[in-house]
Amino acid sequence: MFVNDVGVSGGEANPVRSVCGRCHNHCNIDVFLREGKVIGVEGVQDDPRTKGSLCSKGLAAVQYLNDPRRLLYPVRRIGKRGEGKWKRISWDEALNEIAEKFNSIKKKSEPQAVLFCRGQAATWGFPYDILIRLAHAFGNEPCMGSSECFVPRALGEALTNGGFAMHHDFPKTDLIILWGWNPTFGTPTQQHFIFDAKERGARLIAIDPLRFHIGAKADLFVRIEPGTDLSLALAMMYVIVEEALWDRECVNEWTNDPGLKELRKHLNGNNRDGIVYSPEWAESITGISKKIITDLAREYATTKRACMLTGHGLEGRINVTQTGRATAILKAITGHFDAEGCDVVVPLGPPRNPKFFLNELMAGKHLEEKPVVDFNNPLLYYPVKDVTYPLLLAGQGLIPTPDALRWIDEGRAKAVFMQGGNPLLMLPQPDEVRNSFERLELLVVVDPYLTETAQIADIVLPAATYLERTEISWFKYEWYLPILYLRQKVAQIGEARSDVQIIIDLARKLGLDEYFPKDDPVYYMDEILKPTGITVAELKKHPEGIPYGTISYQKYKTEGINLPEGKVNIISRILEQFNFDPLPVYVDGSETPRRKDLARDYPIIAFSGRPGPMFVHCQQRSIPWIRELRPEPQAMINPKTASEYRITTGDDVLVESPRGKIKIKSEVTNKIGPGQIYIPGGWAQSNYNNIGISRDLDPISGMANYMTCLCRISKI
Amino acid sequence: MQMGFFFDISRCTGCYSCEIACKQKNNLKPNAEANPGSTGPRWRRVLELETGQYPEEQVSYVSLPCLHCGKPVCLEACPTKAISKSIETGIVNVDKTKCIGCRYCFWACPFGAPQFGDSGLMEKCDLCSDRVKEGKSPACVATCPTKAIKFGSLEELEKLAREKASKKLIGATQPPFFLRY
Repeated sequence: MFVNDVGVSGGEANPVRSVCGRCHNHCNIDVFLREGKVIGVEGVQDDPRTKGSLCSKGLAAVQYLNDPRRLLYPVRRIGKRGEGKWKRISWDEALNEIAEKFNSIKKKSEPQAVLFCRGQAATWGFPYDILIRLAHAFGNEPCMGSSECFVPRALGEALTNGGFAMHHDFPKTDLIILWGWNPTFGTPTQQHFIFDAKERGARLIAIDPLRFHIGAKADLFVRIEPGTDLSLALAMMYVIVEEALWDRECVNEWTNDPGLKELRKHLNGNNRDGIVYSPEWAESITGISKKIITDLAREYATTKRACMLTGHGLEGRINVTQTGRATAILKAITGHFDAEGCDVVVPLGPPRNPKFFLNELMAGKHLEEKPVVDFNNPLLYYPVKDVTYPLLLAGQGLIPTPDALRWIDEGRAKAVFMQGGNPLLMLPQPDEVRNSFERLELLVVVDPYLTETAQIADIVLPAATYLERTEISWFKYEWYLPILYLRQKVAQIGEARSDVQIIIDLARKLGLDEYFPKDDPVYYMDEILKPTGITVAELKKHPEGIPYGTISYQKYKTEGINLPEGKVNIISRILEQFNFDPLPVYVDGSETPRRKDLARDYPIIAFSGRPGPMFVHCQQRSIPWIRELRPEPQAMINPKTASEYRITTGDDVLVESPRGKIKIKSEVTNKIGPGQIYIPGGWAQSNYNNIGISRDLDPISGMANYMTCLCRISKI
Repeated sequence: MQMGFFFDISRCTGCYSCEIACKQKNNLKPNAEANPGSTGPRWRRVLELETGQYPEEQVSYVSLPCLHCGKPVCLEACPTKAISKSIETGIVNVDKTKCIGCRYCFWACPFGAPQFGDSGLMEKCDLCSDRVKEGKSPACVATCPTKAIKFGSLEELEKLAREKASKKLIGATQPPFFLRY
């Protein structure tokens, strides 16, 4: 179906100011309506962050809103799981049935038998917070349930610096390092800051296995073997320590390793493996010459004002948390943490009412009376029964996915409430995940679409898109202005309801009225915002947003660091307490060319990542304008490797790992190095996860090793 | 007056925002559903260019609309006089009531600008004349996240080109198109 009557030609007076919710970056938008119908969205021309820009994903809003493939009313499965037979039911019927089943499971076993999981689709912020309230009111911790991106890396930073410096001071910087992070994908609307800095004379360096998009514009492109970033970070540290390029004041006064005595010993071989983390050593792993590694370390350490942006490229591997630790240590010892022209800590959300989260129901008392701010608070820890990865739980307040899957397999968890997540597509080895989910007595999926996961659900509830909900919004990336905005409902398609409304309605059906006394989401938003004194009514009057904080530098000098010893933890006391390496030790991926036994039969490195600037994870494949930009997934192969296998662009290629195989079209390109194949993520028909590794998890965060493995390829 | 575009290759990262902004503004009908793998009309086309060999390869992105040439060969090639060039703005327009869909313009245009949708008739960028009249930028310019696309009169573009060390595209059709790389 093609939506007629689209197109903002001008003349549409008084657009509605709202906030895009297509991804976590949450750009401000103007929504244009004609006779009550949304006809288009645009960036806000005088917005300080986007300077009027909006990305392809956001601009396709009208097709997303009106997508005929959307689920418009609640449905109950009538056939076998996955058979695709559904019966339309009313909201009351659906919610009553879910509530009855959840309560009976709870009564028969324990509250932990019902998992409240979250995915990306609801987007970061209030929809996640109210899920925590629901889970706690019911008697369980909320659960990750889908792919655990971002959090393990944030954990690595928080364990080191007590916060995650997510605002980058582009206008004052002289060096920008994009490490496994391509703003063209995740934060396109802030790219103008990077190019303005570049034009002013700042250097742009990209560290990535793939030279494309913004990485292709870098003054220095450093091509790294996928999955080996920790090795590069340790070698950079080695150069900085051995050449004494570190910041004396920052290290000696504000870290727990004055003089870097312990770190120096660690890097020089006094570590578990007895390895000297030198550039020579890193060259043999990363494929980057020792000269480039040394120059990179020197340039970063000696450029006073330097930003280092790390991204999803550092994730999905066995050493993810320690990689986050290593990049955080690099920032700290060079004086770049929270400094002018560098990576700056801003409150990643308004201070939120601690009572809102009902922590006392789980922990027995208020653990934290201070307002809640994501990743800026001291790590919150109270033991939860049978959680293998307590630090992820502590950092994020979420039961890690591997634990959730295990609980399902062991029969302990009997029902799942999945909010906007699609684990059957996004977790490695989808067949194993499917087997787990098929064991459930009740699987409820809340999503705008009948996703792969929804296909095997018992009840699917139609979630509203961001154009159909009124919601407070704050989460952003990169240019993190601490401003609170209001997303406004401008449409209603079918019977779709917002995630927040669904959670409230379900809670009331569950008999949790004590904690959910009202139907109106605004009541809960006002509750959570209490420490700020801001209300939804007031936000409505301020389309330009209301600031909840300020941006300032080196706050640790007055406020200290929210970690043991009150200092930057170069030696992580928290990791030490949990029996993990207190200084990052290099752990190689479980499948690399250095595994000679495997590499003989599987000589090619396969790796995955985000699918391109037009998609969010596995979403948006059904949006015609977007799909036309990339009709099908294509795997990148270097011409040298392609010629060895007689592959040309457009050929179907069979990619086989020790675990599975996929078929995918090829794109022969120099953007990738020889001996590798890049499989864009989130495509159902050529899903990298079919060949990916589900077993070897990061021991600290439990993040699956889902980004690289070995494979062999052949032309079909 | 002659209106035209300025394009900064050194800033373009291939995010496709301009292409979708154009499709939204002009309500361009997609073709992906009717014929998977194909695309509907693209009044703006983001192209990826790769030169050189690994490890010295170069990757660039170019976003190409109709360039509204000073001497439009499409106009000369059109047998029905469906294509005209505005004296006030220099914008090259097509009159769909006169177009017979013969595609001579497409063969003549060195930049591949003319597009053909369901009707089979030619359609293309009109530099968002309606938006410009209202004092807005064309949709692609307004949304460009890196500010790589600019528009203006020939004089304004020449001034910008001097400031930004850019070059006017040289061609027999005299496109008012400035490039910075």
